[in-house]
Amino acid sequence: MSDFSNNQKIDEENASIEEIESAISQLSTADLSRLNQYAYFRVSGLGRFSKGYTKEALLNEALTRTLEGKRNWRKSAVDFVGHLIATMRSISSHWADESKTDKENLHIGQDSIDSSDEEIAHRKELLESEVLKETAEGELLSPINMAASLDPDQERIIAAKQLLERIQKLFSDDRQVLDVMDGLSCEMTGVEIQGVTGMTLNEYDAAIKRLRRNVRKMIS
Amino acid sequence: MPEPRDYKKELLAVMFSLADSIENATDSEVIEEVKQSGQNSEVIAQDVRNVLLDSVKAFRKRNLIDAKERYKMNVIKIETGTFDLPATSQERRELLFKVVNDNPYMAKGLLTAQYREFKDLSDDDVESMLKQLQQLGALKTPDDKEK
Repeated sequence: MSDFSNNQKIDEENASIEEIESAISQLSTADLSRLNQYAYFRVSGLGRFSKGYTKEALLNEALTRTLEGKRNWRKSAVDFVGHLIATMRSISSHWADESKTDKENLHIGQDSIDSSDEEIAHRKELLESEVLKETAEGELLSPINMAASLDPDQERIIAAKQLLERIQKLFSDDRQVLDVMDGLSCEMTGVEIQGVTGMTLNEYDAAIKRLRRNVRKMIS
Repeated sequence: MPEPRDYKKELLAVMFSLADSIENATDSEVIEEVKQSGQNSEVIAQDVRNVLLDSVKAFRKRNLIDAKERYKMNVIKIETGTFDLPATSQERRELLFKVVNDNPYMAKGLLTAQYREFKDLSDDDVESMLKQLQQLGALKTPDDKEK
């Protein structure tokens, strides 16, 4: 196929702004809820202290890239919801990579993170007592709290640890969900998890649903 | 010595997998999960639709601003540029008529229907259009003609 024909084919498949607007207006409550849930979990994976990564920002970015033609919606190949989900997947993966780069740049050690929460709180208290300053108005200022924003990656690691522990506690009597979570956290696929744990596909799907529903409920 | 746990990576893997599992969930499952999290699916849906429509609106607005900026730049170029046009208004009108006749596709972009006959075009309009054509390279300058 010539370059011209290839370009023509791409042009034919790109959606116009009017087609995109029309697709938005035709989205059902389930479609919109699905987009919301998808964006919610992808952003939650980036952590509570991620820099301005919200589900609204993810949805907006996905649509803006489509409108700008940076991501083409091939109408013949995928529906609008599928396209937005694929675009959000790509953007949030990129955000996750950015977050990793931030961590490397910050040279954060893991030792303090592997300590228990009580130990971390105790260390913070000791440090704080040594450096607390009183203003003329009698207000106590903690340089540690004031400097917290300088070390966002450490906050993200602590928040991730706490959230994972909360989820594990929530499912402490549900072995299958714990196995699924353990597998997912090691980046195993569903098939691999089923292979390792001996779960059937139905059991695996049911465990994923329980995990998803309860995590959503717990965080919200 | 075992490697320290990477909690961020673990959370990322779990949440990204849960997100991906939403893709295959049925519509009723999705709605049910929204309800179970204590939210109203209709309200959520409207919020998401608004986010998307706001993005479209912002995109249109940005396009409009860019187009206005480009128009302004073109006007400045025309006002400050040097053009080689016939000396009299009659000659300029004849030249425009010839160019448009030779290139009818140009007339569509350059002239609105009411001006197609040229009768309502002021001398200034004619001059401005010739300048635009010359700037676009659609009007030969005396130098081009010699070549």
